[in-house]
Amino acid sequence: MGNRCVTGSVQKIAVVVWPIMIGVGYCIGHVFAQGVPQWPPLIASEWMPTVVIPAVLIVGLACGFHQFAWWFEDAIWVAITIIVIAILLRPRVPQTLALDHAVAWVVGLGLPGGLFTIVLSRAERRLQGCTIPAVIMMVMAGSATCLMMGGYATLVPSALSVGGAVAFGSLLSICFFCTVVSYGLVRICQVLLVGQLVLGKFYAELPLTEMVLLGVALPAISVVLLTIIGQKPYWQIRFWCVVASGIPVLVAVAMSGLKYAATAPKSYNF
Amino acid sequence: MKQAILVSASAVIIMVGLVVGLPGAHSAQSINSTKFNIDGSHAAIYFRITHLGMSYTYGRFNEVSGSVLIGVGTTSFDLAAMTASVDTNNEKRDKHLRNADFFNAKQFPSITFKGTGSQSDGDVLHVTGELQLHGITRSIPIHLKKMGEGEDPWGNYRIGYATEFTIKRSDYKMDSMLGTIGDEVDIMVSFEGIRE
Repeated sequence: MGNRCVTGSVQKIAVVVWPIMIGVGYCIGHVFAQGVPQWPPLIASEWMPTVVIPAVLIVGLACGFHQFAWWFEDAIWVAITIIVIAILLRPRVPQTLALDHAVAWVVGLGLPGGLFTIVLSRAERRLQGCTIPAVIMMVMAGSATCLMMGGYATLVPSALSVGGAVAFGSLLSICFFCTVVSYGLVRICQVLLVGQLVLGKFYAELPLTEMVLLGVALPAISVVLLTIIGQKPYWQIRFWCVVASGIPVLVAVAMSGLKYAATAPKSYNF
Repeated sequence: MKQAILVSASAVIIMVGLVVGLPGAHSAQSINSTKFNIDGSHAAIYFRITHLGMSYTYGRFNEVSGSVLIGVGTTSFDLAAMTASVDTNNEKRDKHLRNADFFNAKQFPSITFKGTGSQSDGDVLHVTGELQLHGITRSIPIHLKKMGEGEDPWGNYRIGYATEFTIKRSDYKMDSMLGTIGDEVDIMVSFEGIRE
């Protein structure tokens, strides 16, 4: 579907270029908002450009270059999702988060987060074209809005940069291949999104409900693919994918907006 | 004979005293030191910072604790403020200040000052200490001015100090929105300690 002119070599280019573009995009956003990260990281968000991005990049490239057994590849993405959450929660343990609570959070968020990467890898194979990049941009914009209202403004440029990198990459893809080749894109973005949401929830005021809504927005496209693929025209499938992802994003933004507006006073400019 | 017994007894008493006293030398010093625990309801840490270069925004920490140990020739001073208790009279701003853009209260729950050396000059106590803020520790000097001391109406012995000093928040990697909000933070501290 949508990959009529996409050959194997084009897919190989995509799986190399996407991780690099996303990684560079995230790091530009981080440096713009928070400066060059130090080593070892002082604050939790510095683990993203220093450890999480390189790790996700390596795994993304490895999975793109090498044809691993499906179960092994899935296991790697589940493991990396869990490790990312553990790394980001580590700075709070034990001062403000007990170890057993942290472990519960890592397992409770890591397992569904990892499962989503598996679901998304299946969706990616069946849904090429501009749908996945469009949905990623929408989810990143929604998460940036919620993070802003959740009081973590310095994460916003990173989320927007990832969205910008996806937009730029899509344009390049259209210029070179006449279509958007999105192989190797969605799982990286999902892991980064999980990282951003964990930072928002555990280091700012992003509520759990909004976090979950934004976290399920990308995998929601799989529900559409499971239920209506093969039975409807392609434009309808694209439309319903955008709707399925858009609803949780809109609800999350609306809830964040209402909560923000409800906090007195109405005006706040630092 | 009687004199010999007295001399021997004195020698034994002195030796016992030395044996018992040597390990207790530190305890003897502790006895001479007086510890004052900071009374949280009569302690305040206020700060002010410029907004757009036009005016000052004031804030305070509502939860303050610490102690002052005053001894002969040695004085130590520890102070801690809970970052989650920051209060600037604007709930939205307070939430933002607590988050990772500023104090990062969930990762760094307290700001601490631990005195490492001191010198008394009349009513002023010059203390050098380590200020830990936002996970970064830097040595700074502060000058505690004694406001007064004495017994309160409830029988507690109190001592009161006040100080003002300035830090740069960028020195502590708290550099969000440096253009909008100033870098230099004026800090005003006043507290009463109750003798233990």
